[in-house]
Amino acid sequence: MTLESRIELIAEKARYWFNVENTSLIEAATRTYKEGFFPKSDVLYAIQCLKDSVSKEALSAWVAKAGVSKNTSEDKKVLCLHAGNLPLVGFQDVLAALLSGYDYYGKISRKDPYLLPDFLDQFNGTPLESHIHPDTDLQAFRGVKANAVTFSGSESSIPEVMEVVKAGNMADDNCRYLIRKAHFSITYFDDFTSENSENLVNALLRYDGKGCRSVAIVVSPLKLEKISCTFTDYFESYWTKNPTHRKPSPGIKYRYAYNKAVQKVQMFLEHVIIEESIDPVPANDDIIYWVHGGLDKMVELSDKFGDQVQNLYVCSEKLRIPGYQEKTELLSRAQCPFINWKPDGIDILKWLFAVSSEQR
Amino acid sequence: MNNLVHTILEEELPFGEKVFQVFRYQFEKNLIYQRFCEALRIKPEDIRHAGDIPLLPIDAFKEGRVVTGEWDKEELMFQSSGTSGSVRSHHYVRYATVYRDSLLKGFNHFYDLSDFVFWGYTPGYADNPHSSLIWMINELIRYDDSGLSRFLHLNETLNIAEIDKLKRSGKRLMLFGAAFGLIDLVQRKSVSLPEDAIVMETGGMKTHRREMSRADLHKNLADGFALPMDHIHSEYGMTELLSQAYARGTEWFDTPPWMKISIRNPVNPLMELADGNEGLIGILDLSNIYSCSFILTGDAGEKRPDGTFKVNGRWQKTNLRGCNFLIDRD
Repeated sequence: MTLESRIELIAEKARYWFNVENTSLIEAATRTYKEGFFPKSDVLYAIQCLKDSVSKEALSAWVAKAGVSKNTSEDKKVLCLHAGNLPLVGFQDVLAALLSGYDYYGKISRKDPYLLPDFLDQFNGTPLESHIHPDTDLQAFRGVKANAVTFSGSESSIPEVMEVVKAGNMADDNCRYLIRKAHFSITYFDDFTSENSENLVNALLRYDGKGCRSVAIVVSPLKLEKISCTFTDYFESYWTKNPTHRKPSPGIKYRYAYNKAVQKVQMFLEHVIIEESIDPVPANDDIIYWVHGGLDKMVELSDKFGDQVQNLYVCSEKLRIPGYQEKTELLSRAQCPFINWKPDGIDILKWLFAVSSEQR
Repeated sequence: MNNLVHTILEEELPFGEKVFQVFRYQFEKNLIYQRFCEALRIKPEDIRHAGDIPLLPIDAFKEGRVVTGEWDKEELMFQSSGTSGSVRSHHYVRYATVYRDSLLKGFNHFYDLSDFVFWGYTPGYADNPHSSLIWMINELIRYDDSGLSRFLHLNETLNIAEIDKLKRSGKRLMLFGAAFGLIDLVQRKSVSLPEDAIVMETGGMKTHRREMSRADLHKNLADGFALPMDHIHSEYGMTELLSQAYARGTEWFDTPPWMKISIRNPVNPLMELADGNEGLIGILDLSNIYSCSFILTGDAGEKRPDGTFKVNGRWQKTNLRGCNFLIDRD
């Protein structure tokens, strides 16, 4: 099957799947939030964003931007280990696998068990020659001997995952691994319009701040104490529209008490704390750091955190973070990226084709 | 000086009695700690066990002046090491004698001070007057009147003639140094130390360039200095503490009687974990009478029923943002 036909087929199936009258999607989405995996608002938001970003034109543009002109990579296998921190988090990897012609083996997260498999069901009986095998049990992939493996991890989780993959003969001896490690994003916030403020709150709180595109550090020329009153309204409005499943962690009260002790300016928002900081160390997803400073501070923090940072956001198209043009994106797209966004700065589609060419 | 200070290091007095007195004193006189407890809605009368005492996150020493009582002139000020641009901890020590007494009594609790000649393979005191570790080694060097104790010059190799002289003095050698400093010393030239010598590593198993487990470090040091493994000891101390714990040939650290460990739940540090469970290392160090005696570190560790504890490195945060595929959860 040619690349062009794949694009057409995938775009067609995606268009059908995202249709508001698609009962199987409605059922998968409903089960996802009714069974408590994610809040309803986050499930619907994720679906809407993907719906808006997947089209034949967008897929063609992605393929073109990735510099891929060849046909597809038959006989190659990719094993994608999908984390379940937000709904449909592996959707982009799935599209890349299907576009590139790999056989797709997907370890579906037990925390997001319905949506991706339902999407993949669309391809049963189609001319797509790829083998598609989603499963929530990792052991189902024993002996697969994939040519490529993708997953996201942290320093502490990667060794264990690698061990299980190798022990289960899930990867070929020459297998290439794409391991993403970015944890968070930073925004430069200098324009306090109502729209930007809503975008900021969405970038901070959407998916309970658990995505690598979520903002953990805000750099702003204004101090937190100057804007905290105004921002309280935006937060309240967000939570009214997007009630969270999240329970406040006991640790957050400890953090609140600590900030009171050292007289640090903070906004205590029950589930999260926003605190003013000069030396932020993003760790827990319930703490957001507000750093008073300009673009130079933004650059300093980007240098400091390096690969841990997924994106740098700005309020205006005209602004770019010096030295970080590639990582700079509009704040309004923080939680709703284009389909060809690059986790850890790597285009998954380009990477899969490169692996395929290498191993040919 | 407050009367309490005269009793905190008394080994005859039970820790359980002294700790509540120190807690009440610091609750009243340490504004940072008081605000911390009040924000947690904890009052002295709520505390029934030492394990209930709230532990102040150690970062407070970076972000505030953590002192108990009304004073602004300290005899010593210690500052943590750090990379440029990072915020450093500051420990203001009202009376140098409190640190000195805690150090010497604590050392004597586990070793015999008069037995030893001390060598410090660290930068010298003159160059680092704000390092609590170097101040400590300097005090031990000062204590020994044999004239054989000293700071070694960094980049020098151990001198065989000097080791022979030390052997003839009838004293034992205790060689202090940070993990990779000692490794460098060994790699520069392997030298057999006297068989009764003790190498005291003071931590630093992970730097921006290198990382080594404590077990591997000790094996390398034992091989390099031709010593049995049980002569490689560890010291657990930090800028924010005036007491030290020692691991004498094992991975388990002992504390002096006025210092206790409380392993806390990382998710809710108000909760003490039972012995054998891994959590955040909390320290109750009564010699910190004029700063804060109740500290929550960022280290992971576990405790045994006899009070000894093991350090398992820095606590790895589990609720990081970003995708993180976890075998047991995903």
